[in-house]
Amino acid sequence: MGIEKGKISVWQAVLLVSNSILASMVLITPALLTKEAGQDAWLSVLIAGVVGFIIGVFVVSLGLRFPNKNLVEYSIELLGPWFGRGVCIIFALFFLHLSAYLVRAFSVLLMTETMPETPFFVLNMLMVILVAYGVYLGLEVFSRVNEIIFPLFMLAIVIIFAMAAPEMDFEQLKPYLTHSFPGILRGSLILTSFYAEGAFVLMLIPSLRNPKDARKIVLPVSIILLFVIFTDVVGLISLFGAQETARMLFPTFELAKTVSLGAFVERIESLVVGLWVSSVSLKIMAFYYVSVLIIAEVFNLTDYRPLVLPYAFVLLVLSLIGWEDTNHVRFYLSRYFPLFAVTVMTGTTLLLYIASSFRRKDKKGGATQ
Amino acid sequence: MRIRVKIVFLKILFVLLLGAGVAYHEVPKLLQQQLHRELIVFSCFLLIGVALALAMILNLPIPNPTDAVEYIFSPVVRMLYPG
Repeated sequence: MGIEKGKISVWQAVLLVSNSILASMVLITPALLTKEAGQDAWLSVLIAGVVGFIIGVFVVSLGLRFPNKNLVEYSIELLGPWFGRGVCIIFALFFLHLSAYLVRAFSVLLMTETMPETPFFVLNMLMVILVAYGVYLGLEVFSRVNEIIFPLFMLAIVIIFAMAAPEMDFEQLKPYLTHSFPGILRGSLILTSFYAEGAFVLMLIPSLRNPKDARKIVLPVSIILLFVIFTDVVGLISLFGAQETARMLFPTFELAKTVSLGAFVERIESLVVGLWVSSVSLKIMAFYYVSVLIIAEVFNLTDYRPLVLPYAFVLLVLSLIGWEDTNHVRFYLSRYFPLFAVTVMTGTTLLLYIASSFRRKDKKGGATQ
Repeated sequence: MRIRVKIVFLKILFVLLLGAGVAYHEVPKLLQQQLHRELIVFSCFLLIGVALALAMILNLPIPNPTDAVEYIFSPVVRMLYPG
């Protein structure tokens, strides 16, 4: 048995994984997508949805080969104590770097849109303290919080899109398919990297009440993600046009700014920012938790909690020095991050998958003798 | 000049106090339960974290993982995004 004693239900896992993929995707990626694929960005969304679904099925089928063990235990079993631990440490460092990126992206949003005078050191520190506290309380706690926050976040997104709908002009989606196919594929690579982040579910499968139910996670998550990001991209293009969207930093936020109903429902973007901050903090909690848990399992500890606070120092420093400015944050996400995430996540899971199928053959051969 | 030196000094003091606070929060529990391996790993991580924070305050060069990622993937990025 692993370290984590808390149990979560399938529905909580579905919401946690959806939130962990969606929280930053919905706010940042439409700008990057329309930059690569113009008004054909909806096609990259569909391609990425299909690829993401395949990645999800693949990752979960790896997890289901060892339903009661977590990533570290079976990679040590498959690849030996040193190489298996090395693969797990790569996984943990990837999620540490990703959490640092998210902390930075959070402070960039707050600094550029709502609180320009606050130094980003303060914002990062507050976020890291919040996240460390959440991880300290454990998986059960933050997945329950997520059960409340994520539907509210979805409701806010639906409301702002419904309110902005009368001003949308779907003629802006024409002409269809005028952009080059490589551009559309580059756009879908950006989205696929977000789907690939979902591989962290490998550490959650043994914590499900019934680990065999992990197969039920993939389809609902894919449907939620595809629905939300498709509406988001189509709505933004038809409201602002592809070129205008590509120039924005946080297009969904700009959309929330345009909403006004009558003359009294205005400035609801603060609602969106509030819900987005809670949702992205839950996303960072999930990744931080996975990273700390992997490190604790690699060193064979009995509990991951002692490592949470020291880890917060590393996370804070990394989020402060890792990226120079807002432009670097955006450029990193559009160029380097997709390749990095897809390579690391699919590389490690593919390696484990191949190793596990070899072992299976050995077992079958042994059984017949 | 003198004011800046004082601020750096205060920042260092702040980081050291935070580190001591974290140690004070965790170490007695670990000692009580005789978890020596946990204690070693915890101390290593705390030392790394505090050292990184001090290096950041004193403007010392810190190896940046983002640079490493960008260096590794730059050939592929140049191939994928011409111009």
